[in-house]
Amino acid sequence: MNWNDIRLRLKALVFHRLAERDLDEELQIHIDLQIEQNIRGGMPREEARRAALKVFGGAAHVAEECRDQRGTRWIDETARDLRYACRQLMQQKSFLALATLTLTLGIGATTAIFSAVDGVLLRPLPYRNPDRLASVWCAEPAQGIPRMGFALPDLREATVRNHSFDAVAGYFFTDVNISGSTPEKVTGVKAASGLFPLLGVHAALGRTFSASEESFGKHRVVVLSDALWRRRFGGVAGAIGETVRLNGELYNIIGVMPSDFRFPNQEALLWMPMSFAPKDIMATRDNHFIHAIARMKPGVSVAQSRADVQEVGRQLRSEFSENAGIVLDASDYLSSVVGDVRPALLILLAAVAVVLLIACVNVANLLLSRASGRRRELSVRAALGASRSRLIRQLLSESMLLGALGACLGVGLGAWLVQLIRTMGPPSIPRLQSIGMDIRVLLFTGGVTLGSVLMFGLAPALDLARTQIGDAMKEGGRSLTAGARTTRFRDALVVAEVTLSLVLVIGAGLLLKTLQRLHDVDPGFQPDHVLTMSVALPEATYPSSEPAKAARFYDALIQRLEQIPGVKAAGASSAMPIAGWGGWGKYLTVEERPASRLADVPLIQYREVTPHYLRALQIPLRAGRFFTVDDVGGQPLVAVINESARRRFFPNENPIGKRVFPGPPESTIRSLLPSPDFRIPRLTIAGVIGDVRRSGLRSAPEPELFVAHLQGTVKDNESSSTKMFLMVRTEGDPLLMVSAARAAVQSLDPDQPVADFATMRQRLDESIAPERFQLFLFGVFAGLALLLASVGIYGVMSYSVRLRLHEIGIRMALGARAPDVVMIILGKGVRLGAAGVAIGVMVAWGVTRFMSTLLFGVRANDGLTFAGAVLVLMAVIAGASFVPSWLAARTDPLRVLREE
Amino acid sequence: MLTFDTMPQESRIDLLQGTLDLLILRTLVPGPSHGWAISDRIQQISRDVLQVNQGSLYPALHRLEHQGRIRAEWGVSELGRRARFYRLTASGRKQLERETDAWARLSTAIGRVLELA
Repeated sequence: MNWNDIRLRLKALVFHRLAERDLDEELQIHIDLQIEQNIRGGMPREEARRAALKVFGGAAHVAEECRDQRGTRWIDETARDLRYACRQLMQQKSFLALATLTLTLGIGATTAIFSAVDGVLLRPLPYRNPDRLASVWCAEPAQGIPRMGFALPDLREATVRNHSFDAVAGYFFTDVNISGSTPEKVTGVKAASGLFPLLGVHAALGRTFSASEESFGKHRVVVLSDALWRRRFGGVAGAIGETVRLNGELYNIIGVMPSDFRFPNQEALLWMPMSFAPKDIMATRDNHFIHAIARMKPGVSVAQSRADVQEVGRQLRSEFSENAGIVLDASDYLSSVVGDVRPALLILLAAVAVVLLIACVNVANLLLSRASGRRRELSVRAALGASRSRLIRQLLSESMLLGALGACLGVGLGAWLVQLIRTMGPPSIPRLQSIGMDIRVLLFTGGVTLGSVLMFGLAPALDLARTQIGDAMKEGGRSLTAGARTTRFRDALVVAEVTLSLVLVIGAGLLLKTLQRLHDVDPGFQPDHVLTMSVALPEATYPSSEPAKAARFYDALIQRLEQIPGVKAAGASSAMPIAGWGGWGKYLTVEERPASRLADVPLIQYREVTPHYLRALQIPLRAGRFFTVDDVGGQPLVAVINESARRRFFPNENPIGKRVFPGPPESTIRSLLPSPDFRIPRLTIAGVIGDVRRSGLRSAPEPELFVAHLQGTVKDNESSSTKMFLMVRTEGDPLLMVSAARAAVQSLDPDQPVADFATMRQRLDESIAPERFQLFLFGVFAGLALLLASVGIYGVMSYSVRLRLHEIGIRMALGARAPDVVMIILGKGVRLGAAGVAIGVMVAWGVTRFMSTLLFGVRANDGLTFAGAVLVLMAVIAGASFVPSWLAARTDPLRVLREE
Repeated sequence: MLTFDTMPQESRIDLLQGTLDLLILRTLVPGPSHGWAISDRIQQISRDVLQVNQGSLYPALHRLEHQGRIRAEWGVSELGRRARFYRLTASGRKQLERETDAWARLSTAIGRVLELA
């Protein structure tokens, strides 16, 4: 093909009429010239004309051959096929509507789920060369900690010792109180100055921070997100260079990031240099809280950098006693961001693909029932010389048209569903807010449509075109009878529909049971009528050197909260149950059984609480007593443990009165002690309380150690916790207390923001939001599948009634009664359904285990769920085949026989 | 295979594909010509041995046009009528040279076989 060729083809296509006129004229001239020559040769005019035409042969045939040379014939024919298909489809509007609706639902749902999968899992992150980014972290497998942050010294070692990375940057989240007329708490990030160059992102305004600003004292600079800059600083360029009071200290605004910049997620609204005071206890080897991102050197694979990082971990373990049991690991950065949601999204994609498959089967079925009425038309066309491939092409172009219609409407439906997913989707799915329809999604939709068209269009077209012309003429002459092969094929489609629907219904059933089981989980406290909030006191105003100051603040706050009318009790804890916020793990030593090696010292979750914490949440007291207002500094140090801790550390004895301490035995860390005879303060266990779920309802309760917030001195060298979560039990609607609670905080410190208002019930709901979301989507898909399957079964059954009307008429004339007729048809439906159900159960048995990660409290092959789904399917099958059978039973035998 | 009629009383001769193309291209060497003139000229020069069937001529002309060997434009014929004139292009000339060479080699070869075999 050359340019000339393309030019001529285009010309023939675009100026179709002109090309045709030229051709006709050219051939006519030839004939005219021939006639003139014949006349010159002495023939009479009429004879000359006849001779010329005879020599020339069929003008139409010659013209057709010339047209072939244009190479546009297939386009012409396709256009003709499409026009014809349009007319055909318009003639049967109910078929058109049903097929289009089915395809729209299938394609629309698939498009929407794919755009979520693409936007969340596949699309590269908006940083420079995002595939070179890696995530690096620590873990302590022996303690059951699969992932935790770096300690600052370890991060420094790993940065120097690795051979795989061009750069490594640490960062961690921090609460930032912004002062002003409306003080506000936002989430900020403290990051190494190398973070922005590593990501390859520049400030949109001003600059990002430099390495020198990491040194303590020069660190009071801040880079704002575009959103925060617009909301709080009016979006004016003059904001650069201004100062803002953050956590009680003055910071210089040095830059604003581009509007699409998010790191590590959309929560982070500002970035500050990661900087530590010379003797900051956070900078020690046993405080694991820094996340790390790295840029791999060119040519280094993820596997290589992983092995490299693991080797660094080995070196650190052998060199530093605190690193016993701690391993280092790495992965590509994207999977560390989205790895948790990958299984759920892929399972949803598989589910929606099944829906699409059922939709295709249904349309194939509709095409087949339609085709049986068209046998005659097609045999006439075949008899008139249409080749088989030509007939197939014509039938496929009808399918193509249906597909195109379904795709257009499906894209519209998909766009709406994407919107719905964005609003309904749980916030725990990263990047969900950025999903949308784009060219990638549209290409996918195009591909899916093409595949669907082939799937639902090819089989009926082949089947129809294979029909022997003569047979069809004979058959088509009178009845609608189709060959036995077609009937078998349609039965197989019904079986396939039932099989696929059953798998989806079982999946939805398993998720439903999961949600029920999660609802049944006892959170360990009474979640109704509890308002929760968080207060983070800034270091500048409540310095760690004066821990009593923060403790006094919370003591006073609790008293003020409890004075609010309608408040029954108020408590505070350094950790928020269910949400999984706050709190941290510590070593625990039972004084009478100290471990001999650091690696053998167990960990416990450590919380500081106020006396009314127990009453505010209504956690049951199992033994001994809880803290009272008398457990303050100077009094004997006491501790409370939960039941998990009792089972773990005191399985066969009464823990009350036992002495424990939150740290490893002094003998195992001798070199690290401030002085050789230093002793970590001992606590006497005063009580045991019930277990409370720490993070969601799925995770089992962990051993917890509670200490009194006012006995702040117990925490060896650590400061009193300055960030506390408050829980207020109310008489009525807890949300009505929000403003009173805020007023209580600000009456103590007008510059102190309060954040994260929510009721405990809301937190519980939010903790199962992902499961609810999955169940919702899966339920919708299963419902769609059932609907489509019942339409399909109904169609096939009505068709089979039509085929057997004659037989039924004879049977009734011979004395068969209505129930007998119903049983004949119903029996066939149930037989097909049972076959589909049997296969479906086997398929589901094989595939539901891929859902295991989504399930809770129910096995992937749960017998009850399988049985329930089978019942639902059988009911749908019976319902869908009953209507046609009932209609068949109402047939008037005389009328049917007369028609014959 | 492409066929065209020889004189009516003789049987048809099948010619190798491309032969008609070759004849058309050669006919156009003296200057542009229209379809009827081309077939007339082939017939005359071959002393009526080769009578070009229009059913082959026009498709061949259109094919050559698509291949860029010839170009068509409307002009006025010797009798003062509108006609579609075909003209050799540079690529057509090259093609003609190649085909002529090939044809010469082929006919020499066949001649030698017929004489000497």
